[in-house]
Formats: sequence, C-alpha cells, structure tokens
Amino acid sequence: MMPGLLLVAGLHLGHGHHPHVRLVLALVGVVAAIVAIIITVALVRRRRGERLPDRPRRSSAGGDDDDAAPAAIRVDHLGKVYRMGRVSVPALDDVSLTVTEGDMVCIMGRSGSGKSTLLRQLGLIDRPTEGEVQIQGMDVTALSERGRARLRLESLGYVFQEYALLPELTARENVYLPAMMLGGSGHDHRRRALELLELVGLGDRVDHRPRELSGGEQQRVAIARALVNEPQIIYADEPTANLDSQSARTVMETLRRLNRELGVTVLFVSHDPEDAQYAKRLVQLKDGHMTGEQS
Amino acid sequence: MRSARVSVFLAVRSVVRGNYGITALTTLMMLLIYVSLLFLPSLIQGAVNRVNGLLVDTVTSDVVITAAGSASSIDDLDTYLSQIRKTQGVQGATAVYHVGTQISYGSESGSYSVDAIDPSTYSQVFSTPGNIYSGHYLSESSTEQIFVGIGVAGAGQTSIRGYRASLQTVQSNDQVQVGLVNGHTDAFSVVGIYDNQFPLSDNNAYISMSEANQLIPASQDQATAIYVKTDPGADVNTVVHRLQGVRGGMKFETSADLGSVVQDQTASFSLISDILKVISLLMAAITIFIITYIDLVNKRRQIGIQRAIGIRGGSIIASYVLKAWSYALIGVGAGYLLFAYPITAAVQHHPFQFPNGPVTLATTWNEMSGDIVILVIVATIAALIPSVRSVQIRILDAIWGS
Repeated sequence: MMPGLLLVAGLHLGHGHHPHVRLVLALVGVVAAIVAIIITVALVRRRRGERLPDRPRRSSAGGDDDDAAPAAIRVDHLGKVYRMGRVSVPALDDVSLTVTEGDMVCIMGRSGSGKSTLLRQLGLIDRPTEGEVQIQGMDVTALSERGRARLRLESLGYVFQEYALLPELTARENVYLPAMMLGGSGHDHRRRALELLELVGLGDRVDHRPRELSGGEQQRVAIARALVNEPQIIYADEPTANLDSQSARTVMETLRRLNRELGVTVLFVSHDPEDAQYAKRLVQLKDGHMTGEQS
Repeated sequence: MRSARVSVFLAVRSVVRGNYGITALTTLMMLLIYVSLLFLPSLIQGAVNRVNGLLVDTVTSDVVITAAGSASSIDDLDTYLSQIRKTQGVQGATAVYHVGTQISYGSESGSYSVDAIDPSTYSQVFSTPGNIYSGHYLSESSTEQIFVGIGVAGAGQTSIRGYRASLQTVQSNDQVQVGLVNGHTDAFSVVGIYDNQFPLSDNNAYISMSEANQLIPASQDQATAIYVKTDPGADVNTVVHRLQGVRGGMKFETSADLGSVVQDQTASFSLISDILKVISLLMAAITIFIITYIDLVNKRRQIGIQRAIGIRGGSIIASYVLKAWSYALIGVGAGYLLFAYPITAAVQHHPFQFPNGPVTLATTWNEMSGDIVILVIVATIAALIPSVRSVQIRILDAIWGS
C-alpha cells in the first residue's frame, strides 16, 4: 500500500509544475517506492522468518566428554557421498571427532583423503549424507539454509584456500562486510576492521584492494574477515597452500596467536607437516576414514 | 534493513569500482532506449499539435457559433458581433456568410466553399491571410476579387496533395467564374492565393462581405457562422458559457468538438508508436539481462564466497537489482537531458517537414513518467531472473564452479 502511495504521489504531485520539476519528483517517487518496497519486504520477512536458534555460547551445556573443556565441535558417524550422475563417490565414512573449545586442530591427509570435505561439513558450507554434527552443543545437521547462513555469519569464521576476497572492496571493506549483516554503525565496523587488520599485521594496508596485496597479505585479510563477527570457531582450508614459506609462516603464526590470545577454536586442513607443527592436535584422514589422532 | 544496507553497499562499490566500460555502455544503451521510447511519441504528438493548431488557426477558431434549429443564418449580425466582442475572454470574432459552391477556370471546374468575410476581423481570428502563396490578401474595398486556397487554384504545383481535384493552373490575377448560392455566376479576379498546408482550409475561397452584400442583398447583416477567438489562457468552456448568455437560439461548438477528424489519424500513429515501444522495452530487458547474466557468471565464485561468509541470498539479489536500477536511472536521466535540450532544440531549429507543414517534438509528462516507471520495472525483472537463479546454486558449486 505504502509503496504504491509513494509512487502515485511522486508521479502526480508534479502536475502543474515545470516538466523538469515533475521529472525530478517522479524519480524521487520511484526511488522512494523502491526503498519502501525493500523495507517492507525486509520487515515482512523478518516477521515471517523462521525462529532461528540462538547464537551458540562458549559454555555449552551438553555433549561434553571432557569436563575441563566443553566441546566446540562434535561429529558422530559422519558420512558424505558425492553423486555424479549414477556414480556415487564416498568422500567421508563414519568419521567421529570431538574438538574442545580453545583447541587448535590440524586435519592432515593426502589429496583426496576427504579433509577439505570434512571441513566443509563442519563449516556448514555443505551437508553431510549421514551422521550428526554439533556446534557448541547444538545439532546443526538438519538446520535450514537460513539458519545455517546465520550460524556461519555469527559463530563461524571460514578461511578459504584461495584468499576469496571481493576484488571491488578494499581490505577494510572486505573485513567488515560480514559485520554489516549483523547491524551496528558504519563507524564501529570500520574501527573493528582496522583493529583486526592491525592484529594480522596489515594496519598499513587497510585501503588497498586485493589486487594490490600479496597472496600472504590477502590470506591475512581473509583471516581478519573470518574474525570480524567474533566467531567461536575458525575453519581454515589449506590456508598456506598458495603461499611462499615466509607468508605461510606468518599466516600460521597469526592463527596460533588468535588461538592463544583470543581463545578461538581453530580447525585447519593441511598436507604440509610444517603447518601441522602449529596445531595442538593432529587428526589423520585416509580415503575418507579417520586413521588416527595425535596430541 | 541490514540486508538492504549490504545490498546498497555491494551495488555502489560494484558500480563505482567495477568495469567503467561496461557501466558506460550499459548506461548508453539505456539512454538510447529511453530516447527512442520518447522520440516517436513526441514526434506524433508534435504532428497532432500541428494539425490541431492548423484546425484552430484556419478552420474552426476556438468557438464556432451557428444558428440552432432550422434557421440557416444568424441575423442582426452587427449587434451580436459587438456583444460577443465585449464578452470577457473573447479576443476577436468574425462572421462568415456562405455565398458560393462552384468555381470554374477554363475547362476546369470544381465544388468549393466560397465564403464572404470581413477581411480585417477575419485576419484577427484566423492566420490564413498571413499564409500568402502569391498575390495579396483581400481589402475592405475589394470588388470582384477573390482570395483562393492552393487546393482550389492548383497554381501549377503538381506536387501538392489533391492537385488533380483543383483548378490546376490558376494564378494570381487570373479570372475565375464563381457560381453563387442565388443561382448567378460572376467573374472574379484572383487577388491572391494562400497556402495553409492544410487541406481542410486550403480548399476554400473568400470574397469580401461588402462585395457579397451587393451580389446577394439577403446577406446584409447576416452570417452563416461566427468564429470566436478566445484570449490566450482563457478556458474555452467558460467563454462558451458566457456567450450562451448573450443570445439564445444559437449552437456553440468548440474546436475540440470539431476536431474528431484528426483522431482517426492519430490512432494509427499511436499503434505504430506502441509497437516500437514494446520493441524498445524488449531491447532494454535483453540488455539488462545479458549484462547481469555475464556479470553473475563472472562473479559466480564471489557470490559463493559471499554466501559462505553469511551474506544472505536476498542481499545479493537486491544488489544486482540495484545495479540494474542505477544503469536504468542514470540512462534515463542522461536520456532526458539529451532529449530535452540538444534533440528538442535541434528539431525546433530544423523541424521535420510533414504534409501539414513543419513538425517539432512535443513531449507529454504522462508519456515521460510512464516510460521511466516501465523502464525501471523492466530493468528489475531482467536483473531479478538471473540473480535469483545464481543464489539458488549450491555454495560449493558456486565457489568451485562444478
């Protein structure tokens, strides 16, 4: 109703005025109607929207095996089968794993062992075929896409292998983009992004676009972005795979510092034994099966 | 609201920092489409205005008064004209008495309307006396002189419309025979030929009222019709209402009542205009669709990443719709400026030559605002379809392109 009124008002208010004034009024009417439609749709969706689970808290109540440190992630008999036409390719089979809060876990294995697949199931980017995944004590296996998007936004940080920054945004804008989805003022977002970029050692590169940054710098911007909404868990999928050894060390040290200083649970995938040295715990995968754990 | 903010943020950054070439070309396309949406209807409106103007200036004036009922003429003319001229909102009034129906020249002969006019008051109401093709206009003292339209005289101009139905070779100072309503035939010297570039008025001929009074004594203080020109800006219906109070038993018709002859022509023009408009809108839709689709294909991985980091699909869709709006609105704005100034000014200086004379562009506000709204709706739909599809792809497929 309201958008229609705005549109009609914009189109008809100008009658009797100079054509230029009428054109401006019509444009204002069209834009106002468009904005009103967006706001109306947003409000309706908000009211109708499914009731999403509350954001998981660090001190989860259930599912802990370890009394001292509650489980950040719990995986039970997880399986994933990719279907390519009539062919089924098993990628994970009966994987069970518990990651405690504040842990730093490296998932190792050869190429094709299923380590990235496991990370995607835990990062809610993909859905497992069978089994159960709990994040902070909450079963997320059957969560709707909207609920998963919200959980990814609020509680999880994901660092991709290939930097994955938006080329049209500066380093700072890339970092605070996910924060915008949670609301708050633009000033706070910019300040928070600057703090995080300083934390990852890029305080002097805030206004640079991705193409003006090295691979290691881009990966650290991606880490800062993963941190912007203060997630409990950060997933990193082979974060050093495309980096030179110096950049790789810087990225791994950054992740370790976040784990030690901020208490963020870090789960990363690597096939590089040097990266594994930064982990508190090592999980071995082979052909989709968990073959061992090492602390 | 937060989603809308993210959409605006992504759309603005994408337009400002994206490929300027694509932005410029898309905007240019929208500009051209908007101008093409406006151009033909404006030209048609210009032609309609021209015809309506000629109708008022050379045939009907603003108000035509005739005797109502069975009476064929208006009597006590001088008194009535004097009262009409004193009426508020009336700029001028002139009377016409129909005196003849037939004109011959040599072996050529035709049926034409020959009217007696008061040359001085007629020129205050109609522009015909100023549109001289050859010779000159009638004077008060003109005797045995006739002022004919180009459609009557022909004047040897084989290119004019209806030349074959004219007397074909009549020139100024030639003698023509006029068959009068009283059955007599008299010889008249062609004092001048006028060319209104309007067949409805170019097929007439005029003699002076003083001459008519001598030839047809019954025309004394009588008129077949009175033509009234209203003050600029005056409401014709209000003036008619006032004139109705001056004398009863009269029939009043406005130029709008008498202009139905033009409407049939404009209906055909409007159909052509609508067909071209649909084609232009399809072009706009296809342009926006292709630009958005290619953009989405190129940014498929980025969209997957945006979704993976928690940006909602609705925000991503809205950002592409906003981009389409920005192309459409910038194009419309630039198109409006281009149309309103250089194009309209150029056509004003070098009008299109239509059969009814020079035609300029005339835009109506309804046309312009309607085109803007339609263009924005078309851009929205064209951007919405590919962007909705792009966010329905699984995140993994979007990121890894499988």
